[in-house]
Amino acid sequence: MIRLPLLLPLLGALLAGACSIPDPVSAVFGAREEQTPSERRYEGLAQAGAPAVLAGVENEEDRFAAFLKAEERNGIGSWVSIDNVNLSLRNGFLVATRGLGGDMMSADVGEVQAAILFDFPGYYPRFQSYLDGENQVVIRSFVCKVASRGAREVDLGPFTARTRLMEEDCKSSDQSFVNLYWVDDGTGEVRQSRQWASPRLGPIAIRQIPR
Amino acid sequence: MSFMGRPGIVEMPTAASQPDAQMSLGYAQFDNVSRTSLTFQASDRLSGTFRYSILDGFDEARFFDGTRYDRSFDISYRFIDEGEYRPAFTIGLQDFTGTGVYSSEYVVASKTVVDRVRLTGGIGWGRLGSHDSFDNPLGIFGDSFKTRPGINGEAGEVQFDQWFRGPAALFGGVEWQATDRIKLNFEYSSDGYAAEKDAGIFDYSGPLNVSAEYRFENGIGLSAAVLGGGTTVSGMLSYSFNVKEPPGPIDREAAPLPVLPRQAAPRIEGGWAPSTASPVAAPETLRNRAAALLDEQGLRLESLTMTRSAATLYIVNERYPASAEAIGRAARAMTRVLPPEIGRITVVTQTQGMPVTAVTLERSELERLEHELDGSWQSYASAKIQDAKAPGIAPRVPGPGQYPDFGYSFGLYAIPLFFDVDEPVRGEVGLQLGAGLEAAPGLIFSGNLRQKIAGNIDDSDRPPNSELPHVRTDSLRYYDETDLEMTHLTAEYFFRPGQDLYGRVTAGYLERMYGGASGEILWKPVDSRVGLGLELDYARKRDFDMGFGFQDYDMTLGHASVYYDFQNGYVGQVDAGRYLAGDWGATFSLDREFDNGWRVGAFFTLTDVPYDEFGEGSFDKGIEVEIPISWLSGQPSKSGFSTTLRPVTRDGGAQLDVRNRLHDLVRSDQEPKLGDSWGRFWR
Repeated sequence: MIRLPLLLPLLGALLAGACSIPDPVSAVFGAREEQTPSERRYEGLAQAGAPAVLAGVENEEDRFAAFLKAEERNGIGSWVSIDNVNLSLRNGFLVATRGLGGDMMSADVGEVQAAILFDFPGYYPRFQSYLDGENQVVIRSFVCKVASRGAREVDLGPFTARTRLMEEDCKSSDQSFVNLYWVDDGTGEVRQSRQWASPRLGPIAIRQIPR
Repeated sequence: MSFMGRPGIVEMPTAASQPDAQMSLGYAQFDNVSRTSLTFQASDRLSGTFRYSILDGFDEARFFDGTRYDRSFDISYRFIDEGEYRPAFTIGLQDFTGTGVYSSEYVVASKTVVDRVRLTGGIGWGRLGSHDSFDNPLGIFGDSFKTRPGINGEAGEVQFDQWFRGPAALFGGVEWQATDRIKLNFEYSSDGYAAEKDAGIFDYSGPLNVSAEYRFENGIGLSAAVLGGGTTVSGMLSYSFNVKEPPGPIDREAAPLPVLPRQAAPRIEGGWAPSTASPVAAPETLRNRAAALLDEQGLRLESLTMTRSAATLYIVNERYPASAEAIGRAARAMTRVLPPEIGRITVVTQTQGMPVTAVTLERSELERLEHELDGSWQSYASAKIQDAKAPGIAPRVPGPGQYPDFGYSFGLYAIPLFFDVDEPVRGEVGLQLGAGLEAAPGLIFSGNLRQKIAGNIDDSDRPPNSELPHVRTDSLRYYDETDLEMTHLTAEYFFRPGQDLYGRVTAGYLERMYGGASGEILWKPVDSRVGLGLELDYARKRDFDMGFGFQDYDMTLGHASVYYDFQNGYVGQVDAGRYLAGDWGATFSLDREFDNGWRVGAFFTLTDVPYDEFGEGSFDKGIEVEIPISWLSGQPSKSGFSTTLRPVTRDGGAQLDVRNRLHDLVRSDQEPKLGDSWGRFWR
């Protein structure tokens, strides 16, 4: 079973949801008369068996959805939901959100990503930008302490992944957050994570859906 | 928040300011007096207040039902900041244009002495110098300071010759922020409430006032006070928020289409190799695919042409308030349909059929910067921003069947009128039918009909008492005489006479009260802070039933305008010319604009109509507030709610209300606004 070191209410809801819906992608589609272009694209991706994650905004209980990988460019995957929200993930690391509100515009995670995937504890820089209430881009830099919390098992439904839980504790002059990553021992994939997006949005919880 | 609706102790002001861009609404009630107020921190140091007071029984002998409806403006400026030992100092004018009930001036100092405790002391003149007063210390500068002249001329005139004149008095107090939510205030007031005492509507026995304030996390505040030395209990409800911070969900708009790399872009069979070097219309299938992708983003594709290596598209953006976002979305969508041979994309924005701004983007830069940390600034730096009429910009080639373009809308409308002379809120709701036909680019026929369902705007029974032609004072009769209103029916033509130039001709039923014709020329280079305009109008007054008929009042009017963007959030405008009543003069306005669409401004008009002929108010002035819908809803929308608050509407300095003035149409696509909103390019 999954043991969560932090009791994250949303992640809990996500996991419960994932367990009760074996295939969240096909379950979404009823017999709808007219589809929007983004719904048509989403359905096409679902039928083609695109990789899927379940992601949600931790501070808002009901805001989660299945995201399908639409395309990848320069190592950054573009993941879309049926209501046309977009997450950009680089090896499981969140580098942009679109359509969630108070979006993360971009992020430079190069160093923390290497440290977390390859388990090099220490201090690393992270850069992140978001739009403020006046539509200005705010770029913030953080110093993040990367550490391992040890082995964890993550139940993904069809199988249980053996992972190493990595913690990234970030601070700027006036903001701080803790990101968590469950990194698969075998494949090195981020199976599950919780990543802070922006001051308005807070953390996003993301979990792979094996298909 | 004081009971006067501005930063203060109980009734007295303090030297403290609210945070920049803070807006506070207040409603206070005691005995026979109520005050509704709006205070805005216009800059770090400058604050303005509009106050609508109802003093029941104040004018027993003078007006109407004996009730005074008083509209007043305050302005205050913090000229010294608080230091370690030095207090902050603020100078203020209270009710400096209104009917004079509250008029006074003050200088006040405030210092936080220990954590959470602030002491304030000040000196006031006029009303704030009416309790326990002494000879004006400014008397050393001349005897004229020693007496405060009576209000001369018409009420509402700016009483320059009263300021800081006559007896002065001291006031002071202490504010204690007891907890994060509760604040307790105690003051010694220099306001003797002389006029209210005389009218017998306020029981005054001494200068001490106390109040307690509770502020909720959502910005709502509740206050209770005992005023007038223990005789009068008062309550106040207030709401305070910052216009820089949207209150609700922000920015819930759908995701854009990601950039598709060039090597993955769809190819045209046999390669794209047009025989001429000049731009040609894109193949129809390509054009249709592009139009579909833009349509998905809420954008309309009007023209798509390509040379061997570059594409130019003309778009119509009816969704995104930030033009940069429309351009960014259009460019990204185009990477998904343009063949790999195309390396450069030019997006031309349009308004009312006029091409405005051409933004040229390198396709490789789009690919490189989409996920860059500083991609917003870098894409702005590498974009080429030009006038759409600049040499080298491919002309527009509308596709077949685009014109004529017909559209209509049907829905509800609501008109709120605030703070009328004898009714705080008037309003009307009803059904509205609008229709428009764009026969060719820029040639637009449109009309709008309204059917009132309910409202009290027409309840007013005050006949106009103006000595001037009644060009605006009888505006309520237009609500009164009919429930079916044709609010406009016009033919408009918008055109570009040349680079940096914009033109408009409008004819028909221009607005609720006037029909006629209007022509305008605007010079506004794409990268200029300055704009110059010239407008000439012929207006004929419409019948009160708002049908097709006219009355026999007409006027030839117009003005020359200068627009200037100070680029620190302030925009100024001066219009000089002739007004509806035939008076000559100029209107000055200054707006604070926020990049999220909020606008708060003030204006005044001085014309050759003498103050006593103008009537109450002496000259036209007011404040304007515009609230973008997107700020409230989080959904993209170019519409907003705007209102103008005037102390009084008179006939002098009245402008014709023509729709679609050019500067407002083009400036959001131009610098500096375009660049100010570039943060949304990648949104």
